[in-house]
Amino acid sequence: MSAPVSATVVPLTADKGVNGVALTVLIVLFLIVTVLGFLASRFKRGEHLESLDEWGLGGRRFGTWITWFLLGGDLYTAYTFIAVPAAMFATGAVAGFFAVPYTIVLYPIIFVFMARLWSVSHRHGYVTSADFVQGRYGDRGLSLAIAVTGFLATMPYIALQLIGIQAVLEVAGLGGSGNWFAKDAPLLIAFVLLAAYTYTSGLRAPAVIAFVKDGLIYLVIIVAIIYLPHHFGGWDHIFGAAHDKMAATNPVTKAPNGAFIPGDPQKWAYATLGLGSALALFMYPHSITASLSSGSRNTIRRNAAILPAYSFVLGLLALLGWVAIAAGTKPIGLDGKPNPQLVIPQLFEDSFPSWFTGVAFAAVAIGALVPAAIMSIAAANTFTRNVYKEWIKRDATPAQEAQVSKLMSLVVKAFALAFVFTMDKQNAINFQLLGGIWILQTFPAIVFSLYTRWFHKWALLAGWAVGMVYGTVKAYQVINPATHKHFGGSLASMPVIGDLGYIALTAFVLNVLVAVVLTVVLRAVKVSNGSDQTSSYDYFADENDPTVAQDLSLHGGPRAGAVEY
Amino acid sequence: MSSPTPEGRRPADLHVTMPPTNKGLLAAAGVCLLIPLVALMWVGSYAKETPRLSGIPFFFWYQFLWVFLTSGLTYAAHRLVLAARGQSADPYAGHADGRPDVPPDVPPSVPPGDGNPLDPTPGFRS
Repeated sequence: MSAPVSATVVPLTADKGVNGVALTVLIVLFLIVTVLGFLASRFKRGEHLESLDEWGLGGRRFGTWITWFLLGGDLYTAYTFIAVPAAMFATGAVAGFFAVPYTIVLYPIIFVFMARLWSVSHRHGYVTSADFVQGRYGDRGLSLAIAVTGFLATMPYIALQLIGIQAVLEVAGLGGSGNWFAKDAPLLIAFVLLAAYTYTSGLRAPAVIAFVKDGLIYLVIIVAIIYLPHHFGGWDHIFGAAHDKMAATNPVTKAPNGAFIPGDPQKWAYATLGLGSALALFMYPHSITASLSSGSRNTIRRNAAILPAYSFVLGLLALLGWVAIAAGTKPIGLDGKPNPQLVIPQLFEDSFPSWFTGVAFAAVAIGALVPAAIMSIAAANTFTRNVYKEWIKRDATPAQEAQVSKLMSLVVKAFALAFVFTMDKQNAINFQLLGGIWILQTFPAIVFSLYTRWFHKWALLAGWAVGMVYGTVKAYQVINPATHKHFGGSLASMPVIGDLGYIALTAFVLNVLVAVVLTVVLRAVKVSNGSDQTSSYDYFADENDPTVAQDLSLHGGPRAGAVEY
Repeated sequence: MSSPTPEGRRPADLHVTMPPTNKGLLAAAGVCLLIPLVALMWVGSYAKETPRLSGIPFFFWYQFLWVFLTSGLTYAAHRLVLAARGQSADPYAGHADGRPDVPPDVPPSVPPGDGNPLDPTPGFRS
């Protein structure tokens, strides 16, 4: 047992001035990454950047390790690194630690279907999941629904990356007080630079920066997890402190603060949050973009086996939220109000020398840039392929597509900035919560269609609509017990079972039920189910498949030289 | 067009057959992928504090353990699927339809690259 020495070791009221050394380290690392972002346009370059395959998918030739860094950098976002420990710190294991089973079961799930999506996209040049749905059913309505859902779900996610950067800047002492310009300028500059090199380098920019981001994240978290528990009295003491805090009664809600380990009524919540989030994650456009940029179908499957390394780190990070409880970290914002989202930056500032705090801050800030870049590229590709090309200019050339996408990536980022500057950040969090519910409703149309055309396209569309409406209404009805506001969480009572469960998964079940019933009806009355551009062989094609090489060379495709690096 | 599934529809000149598949090996891969889902969704089996591992409650270290188990099972599934489809980890080895063990032919319409680093043609790129 360890002596209860913690809590007094650190100054509880950190001085709120600017942390000069940490800020300098942060800025230097940020500038290095900016230079890398611009140089990235030369990275594994194809003939030119003037097509979506090149700008938006990096030439579709990334090998196993590049894909590992890129997907790791893409999925484990800065906001995740801020929000998961914050949830652990504030409300405990159900809201926080579910991220671990979520990011474990994720990989067996994507192992099953992502290789098929890769193959059919490779054969037909699909850039987005809505492209695939369009090809599978020849129906612009269903594909537009998929595209719009992806776009809407991605926008608040980009805004949340900005909130991640804001959190570290705030603890570093920047951006709190003063006039509008002093408050928002650092974030503005960071995002303008990001927009510029994403514009010039496309997906190659986040691919290169991901090496730096993931390297810093691993370094910071491994150092923290080795040093901090020992420093704050050992794991026994840390779990003891967390247990006491979670069991204590919250003065506002008159209920326990949170869950130390999920109790009986919370087991459904824990499981459905994990499963629902895992099913949803690879429906997001940015996950699909990073997956399709890989050079072969086996790249994806090998990555399903090695990406869990990030889940391990995420679990450690979640536990740092409880280390902060034992350390007595006081996450107070520059406005003087407590804000759990600041807990990890504050823990680092309290516990480490300034230069290492700077490295940790840079890890979070750079960690926001990689997903923000990929998300904006993915949202832009979705707009270009499934709105612009489908509805506005059907004869757009590949070069025009790339140009529209590049411009759209700027618009998307500008929108995210405006969102963060003008609205309360709780709005971004609410929309992100809704986005997770919405994006899961595209799962049947995308994943089921990879295996079968039994489902009718209109039945899939109806199921999607029912899931969207049900999920939105249910999420609106959740009242936060402390603030009494709507969108208070992502859990609601599940029909039939009765316990609390993840709204997205309930909506998904409804969605599938509607799709099945309507499919039976529509097939019975023999309504046409559109035309299918794909053939069953397409779902197995690989990069070195002789027929793919032959077909691509016939079409003059830029991917004939795709090789595994 | 209302015909539902044009299974196996291919241009006649390519003579492609679907890769033959060993159903037993595929089922084994499916089991490997299903085990983590069942284990982690069955929250009741691990939502407890003891036995602790150097101060860490069972609930937490057990889930960390599953990171490694799942990684191993997923890799096993990967090898099983390759074996089921008659492929090995080497992309050129043992094509499913019994083609010889050599890289696929570069179609004659694409001349070999000339070493220009910006040229994506196969043959001269690292």
